[in-house]
Amino acid sequence: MAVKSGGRKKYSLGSVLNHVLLHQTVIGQEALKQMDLAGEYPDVVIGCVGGGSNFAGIAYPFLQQNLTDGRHTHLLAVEPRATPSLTKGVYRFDFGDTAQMAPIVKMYTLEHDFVPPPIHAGGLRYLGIAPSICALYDAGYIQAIAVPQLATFEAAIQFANTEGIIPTPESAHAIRVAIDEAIDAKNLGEARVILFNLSGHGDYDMSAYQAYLSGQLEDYDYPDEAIQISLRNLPKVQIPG
Amino acid sequence: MSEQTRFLLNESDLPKYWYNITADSPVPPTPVLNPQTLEPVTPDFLSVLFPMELILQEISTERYIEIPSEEREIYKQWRPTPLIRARRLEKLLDTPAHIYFKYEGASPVGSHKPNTAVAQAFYNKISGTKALTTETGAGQWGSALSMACSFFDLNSKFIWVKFLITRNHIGVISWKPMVLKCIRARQNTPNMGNQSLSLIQIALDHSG
Repeated sequence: MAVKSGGRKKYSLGSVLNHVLLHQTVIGQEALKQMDLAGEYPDVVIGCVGGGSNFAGIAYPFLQQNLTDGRHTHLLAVEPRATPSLTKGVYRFDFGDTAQMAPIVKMYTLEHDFVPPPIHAGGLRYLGIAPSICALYDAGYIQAIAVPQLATFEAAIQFANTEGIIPTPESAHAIRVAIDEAIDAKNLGEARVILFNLSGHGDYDMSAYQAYLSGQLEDYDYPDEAIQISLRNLPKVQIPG
Repeated sequence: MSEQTRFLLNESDLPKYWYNITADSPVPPTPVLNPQTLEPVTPDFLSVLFPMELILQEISTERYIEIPSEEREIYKQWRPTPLIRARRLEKLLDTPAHIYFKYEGASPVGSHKPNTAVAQAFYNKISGTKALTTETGAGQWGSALSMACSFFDLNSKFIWVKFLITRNHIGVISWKPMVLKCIRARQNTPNMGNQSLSLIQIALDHSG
């Protein structure tokens, strides 16, 4: 164990924690400068959410502008309908893992015994969401939306066919909502400026695309009954202070 | 209105600081609790897992945290990443909306994950860590951290989730050359998508 290693071995986590979100803010800081180069400012900023690092990376610098500079950009976190922690979960203290070894944090949760369905959403299937995102969502500074799997892949194919980049399935969730925003703007006759984070290419994910294109994927909505059952298992935590 | 499609920054435009939302958030941070005692965790509890500099960042209330020069030099391998206007997608949708995307797939491993992987490897290296362990599912994180460990001459011993190895073998093969030792998660590992600290034990047990 790391305890016995005398500090020679450490652990590294790719999302959820504050310091991980912090490091990703280079994305949004650069995007602010680049939108300035384009002579525009986004009405909506979109990112997919698993643990939350790519969403926070692009959204937090724009949230700073909302909080300190009077901007009113909508910050939209997108999750799969199969794992709808923000849109269907509850905001409670929960263990970070099934083994109950991880620290307990307050987050939107489908609870720690949640078994993710085998959908093709990569890291979005992770159960924990960064506590800062949960708190800001709870207070209304961030919005969230859940999208179904098949419509997500449909958006990915549209994007690949027009822009030439095959997106990773995680990023395709953001693309789905960007396209929906663009269609909504068309219906309303609005000149809306949309920015999304294409967090990765999909070159590692050909098997997911193969499954989609051969008709093997289907939509899965996390059942409400399962959420009600799960809530009975949440730890009884007295909030300090 | 610009006619440009790609909006590129110079290396000199690379951010010098990371932005910490805690400084401006109107919502106070919620406590992080020890799972055994249900009391707030202490730096000692976290120091088993992380170097002190990352723990201090975890709890920092400073608005801007300086990016070390060594770190900025590595960021220059792929940053600043392009901002691209999706003009052909706009045309397909026949929309008056302007659609922009920030392309983090431009990193060497094809995702945003190296932004934190190289930072974590850097702080571990300067604090004397010899090896990093983690788990990866879809392969993005594994590839990013293996690259970061290579850059900072750290041993890396990762768990990856068996279900996803077979599903995602191209991703795994692509980063395997940079990882000294990989461990397949046991088939009875709790929830294949549940990649959290419960897997630390398995990783460290195999990392002798």
